[in-house]
Amino acid sequence: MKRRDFFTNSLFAGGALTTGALGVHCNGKIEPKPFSGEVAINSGLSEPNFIREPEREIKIFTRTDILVIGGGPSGAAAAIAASKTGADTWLIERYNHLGGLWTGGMVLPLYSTHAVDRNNKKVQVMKGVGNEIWQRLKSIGGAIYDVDPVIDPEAGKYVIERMVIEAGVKILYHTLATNVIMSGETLKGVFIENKSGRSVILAKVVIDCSGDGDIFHLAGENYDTINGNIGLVHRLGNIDKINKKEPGYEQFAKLIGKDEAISVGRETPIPGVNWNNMHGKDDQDGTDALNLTNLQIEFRHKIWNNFQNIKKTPGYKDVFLLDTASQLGVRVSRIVDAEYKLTLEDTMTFKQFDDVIGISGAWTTILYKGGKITKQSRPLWQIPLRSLVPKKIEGLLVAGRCFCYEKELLEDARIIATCLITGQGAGVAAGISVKENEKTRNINIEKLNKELTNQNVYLG
Amino acid sequence: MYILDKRNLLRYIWLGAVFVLALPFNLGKLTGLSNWFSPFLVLSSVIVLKSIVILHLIGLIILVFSWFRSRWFCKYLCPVGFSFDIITMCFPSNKVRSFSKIPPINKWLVAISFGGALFGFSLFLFLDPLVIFNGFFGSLIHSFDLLVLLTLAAFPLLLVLQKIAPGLWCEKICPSGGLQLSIAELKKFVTGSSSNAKKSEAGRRLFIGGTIGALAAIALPDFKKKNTEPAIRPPGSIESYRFDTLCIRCGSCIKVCPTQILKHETRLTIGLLTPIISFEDGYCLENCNLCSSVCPSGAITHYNIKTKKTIKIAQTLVDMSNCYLIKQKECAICKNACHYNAISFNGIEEASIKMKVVIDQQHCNGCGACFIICPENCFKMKAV
Repeated sequence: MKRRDFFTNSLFAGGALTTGALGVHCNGKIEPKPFSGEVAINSGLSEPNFIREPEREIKIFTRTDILVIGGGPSGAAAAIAASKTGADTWLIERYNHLGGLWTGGMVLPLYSTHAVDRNNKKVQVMKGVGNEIWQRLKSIGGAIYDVDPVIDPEAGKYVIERMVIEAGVKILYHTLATNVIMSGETLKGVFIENKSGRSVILAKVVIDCSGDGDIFHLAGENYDTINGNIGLVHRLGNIDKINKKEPGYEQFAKLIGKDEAISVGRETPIPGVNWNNMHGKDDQDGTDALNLTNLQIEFRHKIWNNFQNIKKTPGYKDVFLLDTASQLGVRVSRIVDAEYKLTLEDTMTFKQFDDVIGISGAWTTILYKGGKITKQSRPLWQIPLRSLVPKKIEGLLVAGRCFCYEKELLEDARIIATCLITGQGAGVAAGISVKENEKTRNINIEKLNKELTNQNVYLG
Repeated sequence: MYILDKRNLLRYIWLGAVFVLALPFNLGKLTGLSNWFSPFLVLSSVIVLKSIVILHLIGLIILVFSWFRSRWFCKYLCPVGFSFDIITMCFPSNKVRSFSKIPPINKWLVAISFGGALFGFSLFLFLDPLVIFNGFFGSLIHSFDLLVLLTLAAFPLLLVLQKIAPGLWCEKICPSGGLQLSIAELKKFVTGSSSNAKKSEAGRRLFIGGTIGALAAIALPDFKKKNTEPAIRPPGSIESYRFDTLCIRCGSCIKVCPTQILKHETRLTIGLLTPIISFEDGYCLENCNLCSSVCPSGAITHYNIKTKKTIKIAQTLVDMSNCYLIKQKECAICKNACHYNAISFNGIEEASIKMKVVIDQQHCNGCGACFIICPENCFKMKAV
């Protein structure tokens, strides 16, 4: 067998094509060249550790004004906001639903919706799209509590999907953005992969709502990487069937010193169904697929064990494991290097920005200047557009947990309400950028402000 | 006019400065600076510590100066003496009293104090006029505690004493004055202008006083100490049994603490009125060494901010029964608050989804950040 044949064969046998190096830079031009099936190898090594992907012709799936990558809280809000400005908007999502970690990830509570203003009054800061989702969920029984609501994930998926469609956004599910198309430092579009194969979406502005910052990473923007904890949420059913009169229950409860014998999580809008958060493992790389796989396996095993322990507890025999979340709870991974890095200090001092795109609250008690600031007394904080605009790359905005903030702000900036707010801000900014044919970093602040106000965003 | 002659003008300026420096305004390293001007205080500290820091030189230079100008300190630098002058001015009295029949208590106090200082306990440092003056203003801060206030009432009491018996304190009791008188006495010995009777009297005083001081310094620190729960001390504090005897109760550290966690010890032991840490609203800042830099006595040894992470303040213990992690609530507040990366979360068992807080005692310096921040009060701080 010839050397070339050997590698060609082993390639097909191994199916290793998809792990190819990410060296594809098309510079805006897509030149037709038939797929030859041949691969070049790094000569000189007896066992090469990569193959070179051959050039080939990729179909353009569509051309659009705005392309939103990821359909989580920030992506959904960005798509709705962008479409409302009149821009042609596509939203791609790798799973089969919208809402991301909020729904599929089953991180059901919505914190940081309220904060303390300058007059020391508690106000609702999350308005606009986020509030609309919340109110619609509330009206159909999909959310409980008036402050820090907890939602039902299926209701969330349904409501967000309806709202995205009503806004005129085109959705593409089961699709992953795998590479970028650059012209110099300007992002022109992305490669997508799904069951239909590989294709391209060209867009005037791309909004990276991937959570892990896949797009700015591929585009070559600078970023920080933070390894946080990763867990997996699950839900338990038949919580209302727990029999506290069962012999042995009381003894168990006394042993643990609580009114419940074993922790079964917290309630959701569905009676008898509780959600169980998991802190998981610290210091994990959320962008390493092998690591994510190992965690997934480990967590499923632990959840099952935990469920078995619950069932064995006197009074708990009817409790069942309803489901585990469809995605791992990655708290943080990549943080983009944007024009402005939001600081904890900014959030504690009512820092004002001309280019404010929204106001968030905070949900954690923190140490600030040597003292304790409780979550109830945390001030509201403005988010500037500049913290969503990458330093180098044009045609790209970043929203969601990977926008630009310092590590000290991590716990508050990665939260769902904040994602909804940055998402809507990015969507509006992208819409104005398209309408005015202006770079996202140069858009007219007055027009931004006016459009945000039109969309009911709270700006203080 | 009497009030505005040159000497008094200088004294007014100095008194004003000492007064401002004594106030609990958080003046940083300047807080209680005037303590370092007391020769009695500084000399005792140097003897006890058997070491010297730069600020000690202020007091030592003044000490040397009093060799040439007797009682120069009393005339120009003593805030208590000047306060007395003001009292006399405001309430003039024609009575002239002579205290010649009263023994020189001040010289005895000096002899006893230095005798004790050799064994680690300068017994009468708290009678130093600068300590009395500074300590009084230390009582005005944070919590109003009757015991603290009563104990620190020495300064007002001295003012009353001055009204009743003008000059008694300065001439016969004040140990700082006693030190200066002793130096004047020594000068006479050296120059040979002293009688034999005076020499033997001074020698006897030095021997008996010194012995009493030494014995007291050895015996007293155990007084009422055994059954008391040890207190958490400021970082850099020397061993507990010496701290109580070395601390002069000037209150500078309590005034200067930016997070106001230093309080007076109010339990009736030998350590009464020494600084203790009470973590309530604040913790011991990672970038602060103010208490150690203002301490004139050496009870809180001076340390560098860079080495603070290695200085154990207290032991941190955790009780998981109310912890959010057990209830699977999202919380990492303590971990995020820890500046020393001493907190980590582990599964309560190998295959459990429930987590527990693990404190790395090697890295934890007991700053109390986790203690104050925990929403469920899971942490306990214990003296080491």
